[in-house]
Amino acid sequence: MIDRVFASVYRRMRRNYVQFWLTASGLGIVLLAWPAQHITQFVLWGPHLGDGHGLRELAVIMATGVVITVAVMAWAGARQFRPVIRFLRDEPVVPSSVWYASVRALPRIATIASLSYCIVGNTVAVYVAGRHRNFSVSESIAAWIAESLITVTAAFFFILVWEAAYRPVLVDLEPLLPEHFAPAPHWLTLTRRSAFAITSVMVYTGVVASSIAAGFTDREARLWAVVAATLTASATFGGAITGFVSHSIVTRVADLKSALARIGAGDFSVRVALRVGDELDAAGLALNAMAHRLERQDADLRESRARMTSAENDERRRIERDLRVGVDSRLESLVTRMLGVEQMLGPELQESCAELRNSLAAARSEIRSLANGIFPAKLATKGLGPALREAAKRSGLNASCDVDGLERLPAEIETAVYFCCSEAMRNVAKHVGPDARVTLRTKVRHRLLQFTVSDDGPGLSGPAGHGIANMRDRMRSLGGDVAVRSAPGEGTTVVGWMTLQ
Amino acid sequence: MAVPQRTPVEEFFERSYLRLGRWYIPALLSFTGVTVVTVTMPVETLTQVPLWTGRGFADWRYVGPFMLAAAASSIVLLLIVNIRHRALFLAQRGEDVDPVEVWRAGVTKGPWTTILTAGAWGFIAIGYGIARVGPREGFTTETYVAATIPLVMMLIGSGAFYFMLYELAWLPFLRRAAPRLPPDFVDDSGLNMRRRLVLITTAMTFTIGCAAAGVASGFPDREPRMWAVVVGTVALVGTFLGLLIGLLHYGVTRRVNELAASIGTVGRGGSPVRVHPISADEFDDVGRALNRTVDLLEAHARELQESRARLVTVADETRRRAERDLHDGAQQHVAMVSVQLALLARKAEGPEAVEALNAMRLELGEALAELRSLAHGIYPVALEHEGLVAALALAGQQAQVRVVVDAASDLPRWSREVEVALYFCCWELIQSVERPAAAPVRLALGDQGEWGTFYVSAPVVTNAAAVRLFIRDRIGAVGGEVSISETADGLVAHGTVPLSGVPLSGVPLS
Repeated sequence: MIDRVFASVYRRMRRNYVQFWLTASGLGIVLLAWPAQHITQFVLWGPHLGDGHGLRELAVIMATGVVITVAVMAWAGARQFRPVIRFLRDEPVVPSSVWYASVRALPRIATIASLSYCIVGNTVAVYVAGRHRNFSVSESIAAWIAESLITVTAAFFFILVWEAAYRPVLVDLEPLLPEHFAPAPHWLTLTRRSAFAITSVMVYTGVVASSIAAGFTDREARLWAVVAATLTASATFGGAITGFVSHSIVTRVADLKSALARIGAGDFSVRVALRVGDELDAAGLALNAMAHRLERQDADLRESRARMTSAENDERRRIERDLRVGVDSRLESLVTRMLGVEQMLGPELQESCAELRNSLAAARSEIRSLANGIFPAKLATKGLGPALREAAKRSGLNASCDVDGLERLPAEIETAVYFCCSEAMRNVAKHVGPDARVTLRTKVRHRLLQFTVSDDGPGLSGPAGHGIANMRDRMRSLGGDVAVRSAPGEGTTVVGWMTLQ
Repeated sequence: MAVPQRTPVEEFFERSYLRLGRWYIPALLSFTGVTVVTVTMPVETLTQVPLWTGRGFADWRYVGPFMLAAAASSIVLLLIVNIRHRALFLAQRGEDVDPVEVWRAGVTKGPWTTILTAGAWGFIAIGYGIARVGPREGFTTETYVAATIPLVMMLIGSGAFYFMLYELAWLPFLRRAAPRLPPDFVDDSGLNMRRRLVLITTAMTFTIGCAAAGVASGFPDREPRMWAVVVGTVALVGTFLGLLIGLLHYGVTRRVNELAASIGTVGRGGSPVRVHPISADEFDDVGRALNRTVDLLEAHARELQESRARLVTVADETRRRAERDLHDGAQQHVAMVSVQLALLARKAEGPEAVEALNAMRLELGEALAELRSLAHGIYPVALEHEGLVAALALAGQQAQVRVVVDAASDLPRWSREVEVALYFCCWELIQSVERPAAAPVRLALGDQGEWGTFYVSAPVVTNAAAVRLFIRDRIGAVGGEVSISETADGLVAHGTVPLSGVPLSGVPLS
């Protein structure tokens, strides 16, 4: 809820977001916090507001409050929050300076602001009220301490509001921060922050409730005043502070949890935004470092896998070429020379010559088929479609091919698809038999390459075998995948797909 | 794993648990009873005395009935704790208790036990006390109600205080039970972290508001009253602060640190980490998420590694088949042609024909030599029968590069994947050394228990970057590790390979 409110304000008035919250905080202090503080103390100091003096004193005190507030807000806006304002106006600014201005400046501003209110504002208030009420020195000191206790607790409340307000800014800022951005831990640790927050509530309630209760003389009225003051302080101020503190811890813990879930699902690009530089941020930094390392490790393994496949393909093409050029073309030249030699030899040797020619032909066909098995020459020269059609023909199956209209694709993709299709056809030949009817289809639509190999065999009764695992490895190493659909009596269909870049 | 430091409060309870043994729970309960009767009850009621009488603290004796009734109510409290938290008592006696029961007694049953005990305590102690004070001070019905509400509010505060204290006190039990819980154990008390924080704040605020107001009312003169407001509030807050910081540190910060340490360990690739549930709140959820993530990551990395290894094995298998076909088919056919050609040359007459046939025999010889040399690159068949040393010597001979293999004669054979991987690494080096080679390609092998060690050195190679990557990938695929360095004199690679072989699935290795 809190986040939604802040985020919607942020969306609507991004350019003037800081100025908006400076104005809102100023109005909150002048209209609410500052008057409320003094009215409770007027009850303790007695005579009540009713007489003319009280109102006049209050007016002076309010005016002091307005002056201090304007000064503090102007200083914060012009000096401390400058990088944030520039960032929100899309002006060039160093991202880490924005982080420091929106996170580390808050406790500093709150300290200086509350000191100004205590030293100037509360002193003026105690002086103005004490003159008419004849405060002794000791009473003035006690009054000043009580006032300042309330002031300090209220200042802490504003830190929490601003932290929540800056959350959308930090989310926008996170991607711009340098990798491994790790600000030094802050003195306002998680424990201190929460303890400070709850202490604020306790102090505030204690001072306010006891001040108000002391203003009543009638027994029942005083008892009710105790109850009412305690409940009100606890519900309003206590509720707000606890809400902010628990919200800031709970949402950040939830952020960690969802980031972990995404990492578990294999999304290593996730990063957690840093909020205040406390222990939760240390956990966030550890998580970011983990995601970063996993991302690299994962990419390394994937690259290595792709590299090995591509090296293997290159090596096979080389072997295939060497077989053709180094061996087959030599044998081919022997065939031509043989024709010349035959004419020099007598008829009694013609039979031996024929035998030799047959042996040569057999050797050549053997070598060419071997070369084709190592790397199909057509795949490199003509592309996937013709190579698949030839593979279907060689398979000896009753195959129909629908592989036309394929453009040339990167070699590793053509090789992987070729490997999968011929592996699938080999599986059909092995499990269904040579009479099986096979349909081989490839298509590219919306940059998605898809192939299907389906047969009319009895279908699989058990889980898919090793062949499928090998196909899956090939396709997955290129970002694609393979699925098998099969039911007894309905044949088997292997479907593979990958996105073309 | 770097476990975050325990807080002094936690440390205190852990030490007491170890030192007191079976007297831990009785000591804890007696301590609670004594503090409730002698500290909590009198302090709380004493602050209210001025509000009831309007005569300051003169009537401090009104505290007596409250203390008396609180002492009496402790019997009921003991009974409630004994019934609801039996598992803890049994665990303390060293009996074999279901860890789930211990966990529930230590965590999820806490809130209701607190409500029941505080209810009983409030009903007996506050009821009796106020019934004794009221008639003497001439309470009306309104006064009774208005005087009871602050007492109840402070009771909520004390209840929360003792609840938090007991959460810490049960920790030694939980720490021992949590590792034995079922893997995906989830239980919810409804008291998550947010509610816990609200509860602490509300409870402490109630206590302080009512107590401070009562104290301030005890001073009718303005000056002492103004000091009472300040000193009373600060003193009361001060007493709570220590416990508050302890609770926050234990309940929030320590859990966060623990998570950060676990995530850091996982991130550095350290030993598998388990975060145990300890409080049924959002941190337990994150811990479970981390445990799940660790499992998924392990599976993911294993799958990727295995997939790479499978791809290599399948490729090697295809090459092996191709080499066999080459050897049994093509090579035999070419040899046959060679024999027939020789026969023909012997029978042939006429110098032209003989010369032509001899030229053909020469050409055929070259084709056969080429075929043999190709076979070594396709798959080292000598590797299987004669081992790595012989296969590499043969490969070197073919490529006219000297190869020296240094291995103890009693070194056992390694798995085929590993031998093939090492063969191809050396093959790649043999193919790419600059010729004439200044020095031989050297391979030294050794073994260290589960791991085989290798050391390869080669003179300057031409495409060093590609060769380095090839070696890294090849050794990585069999689950080994390698470090490669390059000097002016050549390239050195050394590392280890697992001898048990990478467990592969999905590939027939026949």
